[in-house]
Amino acid sequence: MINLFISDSLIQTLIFVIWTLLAVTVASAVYCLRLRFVNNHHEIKQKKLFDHWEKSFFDYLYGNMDADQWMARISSKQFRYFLEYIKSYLITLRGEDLNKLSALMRHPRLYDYLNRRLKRGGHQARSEAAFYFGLARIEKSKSGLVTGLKDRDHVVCYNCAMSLGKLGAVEAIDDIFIQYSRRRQFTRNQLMRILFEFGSNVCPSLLEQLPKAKHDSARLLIVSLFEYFKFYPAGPQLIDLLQKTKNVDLQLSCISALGAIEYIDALPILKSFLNHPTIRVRRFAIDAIGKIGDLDLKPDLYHLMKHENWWLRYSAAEALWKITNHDVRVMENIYQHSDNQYAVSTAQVLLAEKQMGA
Amino acid sequence: MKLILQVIYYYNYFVLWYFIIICTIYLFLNLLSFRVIREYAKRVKQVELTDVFRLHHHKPISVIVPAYNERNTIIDSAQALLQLEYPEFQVVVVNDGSKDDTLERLIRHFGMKKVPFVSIENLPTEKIRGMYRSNEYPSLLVIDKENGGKADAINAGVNSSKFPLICVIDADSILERDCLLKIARPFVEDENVVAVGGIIRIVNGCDVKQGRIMEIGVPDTWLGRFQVVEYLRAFLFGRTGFDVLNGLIIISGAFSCFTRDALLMVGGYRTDAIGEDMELVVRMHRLIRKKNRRAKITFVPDPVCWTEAPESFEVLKSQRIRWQKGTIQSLGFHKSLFLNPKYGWVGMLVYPYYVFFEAMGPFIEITGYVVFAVSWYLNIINLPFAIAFLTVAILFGIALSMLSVILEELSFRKYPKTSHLLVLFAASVFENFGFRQMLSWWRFKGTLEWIFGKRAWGHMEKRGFWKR
Repeated sequence: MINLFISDSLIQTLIFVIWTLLAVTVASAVYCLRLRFVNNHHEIKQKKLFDHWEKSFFDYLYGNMDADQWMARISSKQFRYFLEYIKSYLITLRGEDLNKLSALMRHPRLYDYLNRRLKRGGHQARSEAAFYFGLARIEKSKSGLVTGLKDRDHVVCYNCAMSLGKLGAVEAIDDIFIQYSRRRQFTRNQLMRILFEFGSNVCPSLLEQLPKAKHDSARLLIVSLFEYFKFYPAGPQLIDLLQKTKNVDLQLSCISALGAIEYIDALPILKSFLNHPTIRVRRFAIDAIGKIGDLDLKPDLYHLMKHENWWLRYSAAEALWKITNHDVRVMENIYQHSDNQYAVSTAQVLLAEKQMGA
Repeated sequence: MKLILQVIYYYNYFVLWYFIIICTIYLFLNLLSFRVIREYAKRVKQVELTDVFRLHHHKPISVIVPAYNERNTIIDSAQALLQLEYPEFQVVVVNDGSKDDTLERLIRHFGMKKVPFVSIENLPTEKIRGMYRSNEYPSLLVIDKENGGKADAINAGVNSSKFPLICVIDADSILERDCLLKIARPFVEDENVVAVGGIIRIVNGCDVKQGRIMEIGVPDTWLGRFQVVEYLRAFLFGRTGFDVLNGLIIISGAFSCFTRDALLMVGGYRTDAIGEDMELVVRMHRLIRKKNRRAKITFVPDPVCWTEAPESFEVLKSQRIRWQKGTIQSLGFHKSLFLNPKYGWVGMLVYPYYVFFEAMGPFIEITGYVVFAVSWYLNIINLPFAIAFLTVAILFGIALSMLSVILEELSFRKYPKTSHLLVLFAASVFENFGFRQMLSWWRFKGTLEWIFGKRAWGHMEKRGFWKR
């Protein structure tokens, strides 16, 4: 019966599917193995060269050899491997050692090689060149990196921005923010990573950027950096932003930053957030109050220890513990005399933890 | 006779269409996963995880470890967990009425002292016998309770844990050092995320010392190797693909993370469920997404949890029968999701997919083989067509497995030696000749046992790689 319904063309189709599946499978496996072999070959060659360089590299660092002598040992074909070799040193070494490594990177042969790659290489080459310029802190690469911010490839742009961060080029902040607002692939985490590279010096520039920022995501990031670097002068702007914004995440960040910089003038507004409808916002306000410390808020915190949400009442207990300067008697008093079961159990957990050294 | 021939005829066509539909779904999932995982791998390379947590407001985690008769592994396991990389976390070990000296070992090794028991939440559990803390390890908490099963032990852990994220892991699982950072990342980046699952890989063949993987390897037996490929396929393709649609309805119980609020909102783990992990996630979809349509249950392909896979037929059989029963039971508990547009892709695609292709799949496959044999016997089948069809089916299976190994290689490259890659390629081919059919047969048995009322848990015995 089935015979009647199966035409030759259907069988032909199946045979075509068989060949396609076979071809796809074999081709992908071969491609994958080829990648693995290329990678293995690269690793073997790399190891050989690294072992060779390792023997004399410290001679260079200790001053027994100058940059010209060292560079004379490396052919231009080996530059790729040499950059790999020097990478971990560039990441870990600081001070005089880093200057000596930078001198190698500034050597005309290597600098020209990288510069050529940044300007005319493929996207991978441009991206790597940008990366190494930053890693070696090569000041004269700044203009090339600023140009690279406009590169059509997102990864190149990202690496240029990272390198500008390493070079502390705060004058490029505006350009970086422009790229952030224009590029869809540019994530907040990437911008954060870039700004982080600038270190705390970036904060005054960010303070100028805050009112100009077009998106809440950028504001959020700037506030988080103020928090991380504990940038006290941002206090008034943070209060202003906290009063104006309706974005809960931004509110959380502002509250948290005000707590981190221990901005006493923020206490009245923080107190108003203790009644916020969102539990998370309330919890952040409690934490901030705990960090700034105001004994007048003891009754409010005790009241919050009776809340049905565990994380809220635990935060209130922790804040109370902090503002009373770790006074065990306050918690014991709540534990022994409170008529509220939530407050009692929270005090009990906190006491148990603190007594066991948590 | 005519009626029988008619039935056989239509059944053959049904199987053909069933196969075409399932292949289309797999192809679709594969394409989605390839894109997502490659993008994920690139994204991870660009941003350091520690930086993300330096500037975002991290959410502290309580790691709950239910332990039953784990005397051999519990100390190494607890020590390894205490050394995980994360800004703020606690480890809550729940001794679920072990008959061996699991509890005594913990008390002795970590210098723990009994403290008054405080229950923060009120999920119903078996009686709690005691709570222990240590001066030296303040972030370790041990709960001792009467035996009530894994789900009950996790609920007891939730009752006593204090942080807003709850991570549940098996006592004999091995977590990579930065896996908490990776699994918590979706929670800090998106407030709507309520649950996250990580990838489970097979530890058999790896060199393990004191709860850490020293060297990654592949299992010595083909049974183990087939499971490595099977896990890669399931996690890298299946879960990632469904995740894109926010349609993940299973997160492995060996390593999962939830927001405390979500876990409490749905009432914790169900103690009468065979597959408590799947049941919980399906329930979360049903209850939480009803209130918050943007709620997300997601999967991260990177935070790796290593777990032991059975390498004996008996144990593997019992595991697969249990999984099949668990799937059917979990789907049965939440029938209201079926083709319900309120639940988006979960209601319209994922749940029906699990009903037709996971729960009913083995039944259709096995009966398909029988009907094929009968058709052949009755000489009513077009032999060239049948052979071509069978070849396509097998090749499609091989292609899927190979692609999952390739995706692994291109994205994470966990297996360091070329020989590992070759072994996995070989396993991708050979598993289609016997192993897969055997799994289908066991799952078919599981379905029959479920239908005819044999619904107990079954037994799972492990060799214990930790002892090596």
